[in-house]
Amino acid sequence: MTNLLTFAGSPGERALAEQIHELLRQQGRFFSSDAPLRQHLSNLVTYFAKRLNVSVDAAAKQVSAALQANQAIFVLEGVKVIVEDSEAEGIVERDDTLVTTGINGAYVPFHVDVSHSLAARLYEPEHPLPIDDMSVVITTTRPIMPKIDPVYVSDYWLNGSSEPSEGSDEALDEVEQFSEQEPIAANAQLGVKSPSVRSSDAQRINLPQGISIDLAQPTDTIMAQHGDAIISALRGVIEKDSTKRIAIFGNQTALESDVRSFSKNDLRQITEYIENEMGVPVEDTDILVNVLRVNRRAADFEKQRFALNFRMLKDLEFVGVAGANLWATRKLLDKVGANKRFKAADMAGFVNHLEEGFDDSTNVTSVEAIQAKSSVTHTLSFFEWEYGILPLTDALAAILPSPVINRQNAAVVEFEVPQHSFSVSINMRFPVGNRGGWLQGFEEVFRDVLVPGALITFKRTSKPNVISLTYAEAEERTEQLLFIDDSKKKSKFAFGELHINCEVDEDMLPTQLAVGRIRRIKFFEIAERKNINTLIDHIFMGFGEEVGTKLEPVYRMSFEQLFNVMSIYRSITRSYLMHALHEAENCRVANNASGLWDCRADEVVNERSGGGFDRHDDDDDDE
Amino acid sequence: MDGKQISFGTTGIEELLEVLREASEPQDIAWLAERYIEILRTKAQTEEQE
Repeated sequence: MTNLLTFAGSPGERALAEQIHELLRQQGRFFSSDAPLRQHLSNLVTYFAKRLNVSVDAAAKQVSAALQANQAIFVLEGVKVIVEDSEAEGIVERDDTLVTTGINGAYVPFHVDVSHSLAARLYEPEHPLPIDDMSVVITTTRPIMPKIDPVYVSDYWLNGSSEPSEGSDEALDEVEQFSEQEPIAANAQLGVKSPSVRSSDAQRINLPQGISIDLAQPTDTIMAQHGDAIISALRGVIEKDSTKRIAIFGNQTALESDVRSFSKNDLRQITEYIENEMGVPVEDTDILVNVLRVNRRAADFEKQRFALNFRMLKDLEFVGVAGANLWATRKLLDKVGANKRFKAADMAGFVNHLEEGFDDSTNVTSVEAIQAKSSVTHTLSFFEWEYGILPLTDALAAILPSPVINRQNAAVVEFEVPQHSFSVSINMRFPVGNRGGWLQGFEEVFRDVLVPGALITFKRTSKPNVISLTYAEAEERTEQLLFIDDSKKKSKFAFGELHINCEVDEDMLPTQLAVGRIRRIKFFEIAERKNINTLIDHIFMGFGEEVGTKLEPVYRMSFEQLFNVMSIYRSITRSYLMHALHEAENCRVANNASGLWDCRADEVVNERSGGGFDRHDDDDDDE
Repeated sequence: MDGKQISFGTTGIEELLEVLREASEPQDIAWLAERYIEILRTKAQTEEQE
């Protein structure tokens, strides 16, 4: 679109100026609307001299007059031009005038407006307003970290692709070191088992974990450096092989076709022997000798033993440990350490925190130190004493046997008490996934020999499945100690005389003086104790010192006292309790130096429990 | 699979089975792992020469 221009000057000058402008517009008809239209004055004069049929000088005067009269539209600029001079027979430089205009009138140079740009606005305002409330900007709430389940990757992909992987820090280091010599692509995804493919070096292979191995080295050197990783990788290969050509049990392997099978009659006899004749888990060698009548001195005894263990995996429960292959039936295993007072699911809820990073059992004594001594000392809590269980902490696991086979859920371990010349079979539940492990079946031992708060020592023996349990004897005394009275329909806490003849942690001893107030608190059934926040609220109300107002009641107590009372109700570690307190919105540190905590508990407790707490009723259930 | 690639868990398994067959007794997995490394080394050297 063009604007209709108005030219100045005499009628002749206006007409000529309009023609000049039209001429320049024709010249730049394919230009953009804001492009300058330029022409030398000498060219315009030559053109109009011919068109107006006048002399060059006359045309020059008329054109110059028309341009001068319309300086708002035409810009005149003196310039030097180089032209070919026929008279001089060469190129000469002479003065000229450059006429510039625009398609809509005077030419206006293009101007980029940078006063408001996106780049500039990213830094605005220059002086931002202060933020009074940081919680608007950041949150102090820790997001729940989802636990990522391992992803099974088909063997097809593991073997079919050709990308090397990075599976661990160690693997990365290996790859980095190696890449200094020869570049290796290391761009596979973390956590995904990738193919074990030979690198560019002819003597190198990669394990599924991503570890690179130099085959040029001697076998002993390779095994010394990467033995565990190689064995683990080979075990994975054997177990994932769909054709199952290699039989594996524990650390033993054999050709599957060479492993003898057992008849249904053999299996029936073995089951009867374990359940009816022995009544306890039985070692594989006993089954071979007493049921299958295999001579211990037979040349193929070890071969038969391997076959028995490998073939029974799908029919019986393996509850053994390294060096003692024990077998039980499902029915028999349920009886070992059986306790009708709690279910396995309830117990799992009390020990899950051990697998969530709140196991502080090795804070004082490291795993290495425990293993070096082959013994560990434990303070028995009321909960452990009452229900005959022990959480499988890192400290205990350091001296207890490990699982022999993959996905082994349980083992039966013998705990002998040399001071009383008896032993007991304990059902040891290994941690599975997020679920923590525990040992059950101590109820009788703990009740008969020990008291809550007792300091007990576990020690390895010469037998792989036998652990000794001892305690330091002390001068006998009698105390009113806490126990759970199950004589009536509803269980309740009560105090009774108990003889103490072992060393105890006095803080953990549940005397009437120390924890008498527990009778003010609702007796929580086992299934109700999983919610640690509810327990915290009730314990604060029952034991804490009132420091708030009637409208806003606040209760104060020390962390250690809270821990001691909490260990009456459930299995707990200090680190998990501290974590729970920090997470609880109604709890805060009152005095860091003395370990005091405040809890605004009243409303919460009434809301959660329907008002099951009566702080001022001291005499309830005494009769 | 590229003929010049050696894959842990795929290459040399048949030879490993033969080793177990010859042993005729159950063997520790560490012993088996050592034999497998030796099989892979032999394979790698053979390919390198080719």
